[in-house]
Amino acid sequence: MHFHLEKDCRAESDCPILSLSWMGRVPNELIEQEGSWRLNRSSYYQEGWLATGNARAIAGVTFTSSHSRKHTDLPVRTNYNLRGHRSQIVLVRWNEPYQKLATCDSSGIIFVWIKYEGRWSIELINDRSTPVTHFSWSHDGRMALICYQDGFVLVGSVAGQRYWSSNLRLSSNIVCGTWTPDDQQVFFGSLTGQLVVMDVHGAMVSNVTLLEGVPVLEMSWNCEKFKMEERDDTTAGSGKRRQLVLAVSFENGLIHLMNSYDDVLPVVVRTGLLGIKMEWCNSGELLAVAGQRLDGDSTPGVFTNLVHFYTSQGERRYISRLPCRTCGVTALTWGHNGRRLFIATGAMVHVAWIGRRVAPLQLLCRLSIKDALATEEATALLPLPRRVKLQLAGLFSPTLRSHIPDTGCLRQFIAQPPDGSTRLHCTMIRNEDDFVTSSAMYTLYLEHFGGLIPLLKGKRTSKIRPEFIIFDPSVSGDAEPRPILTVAPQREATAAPPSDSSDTEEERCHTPRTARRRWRRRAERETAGEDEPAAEPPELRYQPGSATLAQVTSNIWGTKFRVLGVAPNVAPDLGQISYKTSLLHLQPRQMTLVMTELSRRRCAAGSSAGLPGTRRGSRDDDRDERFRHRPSQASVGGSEAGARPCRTGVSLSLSRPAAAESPPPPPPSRDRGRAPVIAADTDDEAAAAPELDHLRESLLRMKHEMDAKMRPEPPPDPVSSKVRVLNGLNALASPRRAARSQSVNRADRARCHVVSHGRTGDAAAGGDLAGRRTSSAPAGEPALGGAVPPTSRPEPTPAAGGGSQMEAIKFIDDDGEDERPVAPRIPPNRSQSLNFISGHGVTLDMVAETASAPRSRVVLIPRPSRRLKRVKSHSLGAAPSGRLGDWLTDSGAVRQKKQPPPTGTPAGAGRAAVLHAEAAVRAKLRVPEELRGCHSSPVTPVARRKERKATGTPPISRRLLSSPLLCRRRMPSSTESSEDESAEVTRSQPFTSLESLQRSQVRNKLRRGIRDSSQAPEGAAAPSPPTQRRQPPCRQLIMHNIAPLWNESSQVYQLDFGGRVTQESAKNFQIQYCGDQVMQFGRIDGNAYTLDFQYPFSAVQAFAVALANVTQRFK
Amino acid sequence: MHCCYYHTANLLLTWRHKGIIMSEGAEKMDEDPQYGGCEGPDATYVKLRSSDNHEFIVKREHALTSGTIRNMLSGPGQFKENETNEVTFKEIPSHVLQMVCMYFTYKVRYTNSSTEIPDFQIDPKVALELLMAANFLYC
Repeated sequence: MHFHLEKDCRAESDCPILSLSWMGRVPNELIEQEGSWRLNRSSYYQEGWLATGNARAIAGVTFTSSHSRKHTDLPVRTNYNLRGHRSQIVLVRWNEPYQKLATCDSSGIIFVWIKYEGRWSIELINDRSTPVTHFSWSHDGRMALICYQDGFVLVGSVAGQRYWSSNLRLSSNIVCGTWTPDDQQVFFGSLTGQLVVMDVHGAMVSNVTLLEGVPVLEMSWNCEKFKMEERDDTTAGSGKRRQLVLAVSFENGLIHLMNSYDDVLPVVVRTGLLGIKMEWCNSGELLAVAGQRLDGDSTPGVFTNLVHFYTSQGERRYISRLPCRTCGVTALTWGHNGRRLFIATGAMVHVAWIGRRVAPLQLLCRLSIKDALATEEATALLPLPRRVKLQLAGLFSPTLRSHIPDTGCLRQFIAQPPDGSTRLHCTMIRNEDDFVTSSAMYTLYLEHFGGLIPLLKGKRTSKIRPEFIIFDPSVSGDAEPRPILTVAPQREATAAPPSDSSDTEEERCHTPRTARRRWRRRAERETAGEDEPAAEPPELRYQPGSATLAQVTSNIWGTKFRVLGVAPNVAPDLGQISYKTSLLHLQPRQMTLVMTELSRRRCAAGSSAGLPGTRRGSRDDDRDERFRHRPSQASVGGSEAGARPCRTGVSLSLSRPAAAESPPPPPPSRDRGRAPVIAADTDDEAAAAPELDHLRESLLRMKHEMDAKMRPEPPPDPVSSKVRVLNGLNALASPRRAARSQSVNRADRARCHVVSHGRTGDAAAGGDLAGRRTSSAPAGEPALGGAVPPTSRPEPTPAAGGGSQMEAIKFIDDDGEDERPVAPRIPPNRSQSLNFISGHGVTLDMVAETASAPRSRVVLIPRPSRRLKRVKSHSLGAAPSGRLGDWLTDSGAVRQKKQPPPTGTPAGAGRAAVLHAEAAVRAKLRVPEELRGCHSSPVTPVARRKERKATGTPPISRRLLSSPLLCRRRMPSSTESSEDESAEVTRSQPFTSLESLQRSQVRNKLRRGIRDSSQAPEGAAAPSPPTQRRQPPCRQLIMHNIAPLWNESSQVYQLDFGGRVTQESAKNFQIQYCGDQVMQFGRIDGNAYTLDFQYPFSAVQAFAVALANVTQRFK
Repeated sequence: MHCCYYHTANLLLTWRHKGIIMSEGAEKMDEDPQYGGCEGPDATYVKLRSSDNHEFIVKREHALTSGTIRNMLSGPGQFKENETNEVTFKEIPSHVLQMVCMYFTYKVRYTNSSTEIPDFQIDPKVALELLMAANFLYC
């Protein structure tokens, strides 16, 4: 056999790991057949999940991979830190056939976790308030055996039913238990060296004393850990290919290898190790035993950890020494079907590569070369053939695949958004308050392997304003292990950056005295931390405070924040955050982020044709306070929108090139390169109860203004914004047919806009689930972008110019009608939960059906020749927890209602047809009330009702429109009539002025364009304005938070945080971008928050947003 | 057995100037006096010749560890190697071929055995050449 340890090991946590367990990964795309997953044996064990239970009460679930390919498709998330236990986790055990994880903590609480829709949630809780000594799943995964310290043993089903339990009143305690390979008996080992045998029904069979007075540590049969192949139990039991062996390890370092419990002549293996951890590899050929060397020559505190391998005959095959000498072996588990061995020593997990045969000479040579090389990159320089180089590079591929910063590359890691759709799951902790200034220190940690890797540290610099500085991690090498304990305070004091004039307070706090005091406090905490496990996350590996990386500045109200890069090679403007205040804090907070894109890689990949892909959006309220100013064109839209105090956002996309808009793009997926689509305005919450009066007022005002604008007959006010817009539009749109057809595409695809005419925004929001599903909002938006004329625009300008034009186009459509486009917009981006429901209705439905049914098992595809009996999983009775159940039934309802599948929206379909289809779908799809609430508008239903009354203007038809049943009839007719009507107007009406002439011409062209586009293929329209191709150096991305949905029953706002947030707080938020939720922040503890983000956020930006949010005073 | 192997290695250093290595089988003379030669189709030994013209006489069974040598010696066609039981490696110098031969012994010795396996030590200085040779020899 062959054994070598992975050198550059990422498997390190921040606290002792007490238990390990490994399970193969079931691919996502696996189709479930007849209640079980069929797995391909050859590929199944290549990837898996390593579960760790640590002293900080966190269970880590981390992805592992044994193949050397560099860029395999990793799962969306490669690490989960499962929180929930209150004391240190002593046992983690996978149930592989059912893909569940059992975790036991030292207080005796057992959780059974189940993965559902990408998140791990607790399915079962068992609390006997007695410490658990052992937990073991049966080999078929259907039963669990739990041993308690007081001699109580319990056998239950995987679903939580108790089969039997017994209190073994022995002279000593039960310390471990195991199932026989056929699951017909359970063996228990006791502290006095006894072996107790009971059958599967709880009847005592035998009681054998193996070694008088020597405590048994572990027992393990050398059968497969789980029967992953379904076969007849009889053949499995009788048709043994080899003699199965039970290994029993004792505290004194002996291991007995027995054929049965009454084996009178067991093979005795003297390992010479203490604190033995052992496990058979899955094939049963090798027993890995790890422990501390027995001979007492070592000084206390220094451990000589060895790992031995024994055959099933008890012969020693190999010995290796583990490099860790500071703590003993705490856990051990095999993985990847015997190709990997994970050995935990304290916080470190050693990953060993195991080969069952004598290693080929090539491998030995490669290992020797690899040891001589510093990095993987160096392999490219070797004078070797390419294939050999690749094989050599394969040795560098880590078993633990997760996105963590490499040593020395932390600075780069935090300054760039993660690649692709990689999402970083972080925790932000408020460390301590500075003693003098009481300014808070916050640290951002990356979650990894059940622990936390410090990334960034921030510090509040002002008592008055919520301003922060973020320290630069690159200045002092992070390779240094933990230097902060000794030198940090002094260096912090001396090296305060003189450039920061603003944080005088901070400098004041760096007196040596303070530093000393802090140092003492820290040291105390460090020592105290030994006792209490959940005390304190690890200190930063780098020196904070030696330089400032970025600053978060604020206005006095704490409503506007800027993130400024201070360090030399950081973008000076990292982004801005603005909050909208609401009276009485009754509304959920609304934030607008303007983030500078720090990486170009993504956009190069995303926009295939070298597209300009500038994504801009605008929020038109509070524009007077915007940081940036806009060009003249934009000011039109701005003034127009500014005149509407009701919070109507304008959504649009700019400079979407022709190539991208030809067919309706597929719905957004995580993997797809992001199309440069506008970020949605999610802020059309038109009203909340306290703002009713204000709203009514504003609506009235708006109505007047709209009236004034809409009226075509009188020669318009020369400064009327609309006319200006129209002029601009005319000039821009007239020369090219292509542009026209684009705008028509816009009209076609952006059905949301058309449909919502004559409705108040919230009404639209109320009934429009179907719209958002079928139209797959980003698909509509490229077309919108196409309509935008090519104006050369300086790069940092926001999109208001385009916005105004969009508005103008809309007004043209509306011209003849007396319905006003009050809030004529349905937010194209949906809250994540809605996407979730609508997009994945089918899968949800599937799950819903099986919600109460037994959960399926995972089975390996057996050898084809054998005919197999199907074994149904029968032992499950318990339904999932209540919340899950509700959720499932809800989604199931949705699915059933939309039984006729939504007709796709073909690219060239006429507008009416599309509308009809959409309306039909909408009528079919009746959303449950609470689901309907989860639109982007955070409006309480009460407020919405009132607001509808308050507007006064809505005629009956408008109210009817909100009924999903009627809108079907209403929709096509309204749009058609508007067309006809306006056409008639243009024909008959004599033009009273130049403006009206131009306007009518534009209208005609638009209409022609509509007809054209309904016949011509859309791809033909390809305007490529050269000015638009110019790409600004740094894109500014505008994003908004996702509005929570109002839960009527519990009277709270709700957002789906994917189980990452455990406390409700007004500070919790989610940011969406291109319809994807790209950042979320939520409270999990009094001073701990989770912060998850992905592109376009870099760690420093995300941290800045979180810092701005956490002390934000006004909602 | 185990000692024998290292004994071989020592011999190897001393006998190198002669360019002859008797692999493990040579040590067994006392228990198995007839050890055959390198001639004929059923010869016990084969001769491996390095680029610098050193000859390594190893057991055929050991040499068959290498897939390339196995193909050469047992190919269906009429090869020179097939008849003479001698393989010349134009690109493998003797200090590498020596390691290869040692590996053959190591591999045969510890395959299907239940004794403890020592690590096969490779000098990093020859690791690259050895890797190329091993890659060619397919072992």
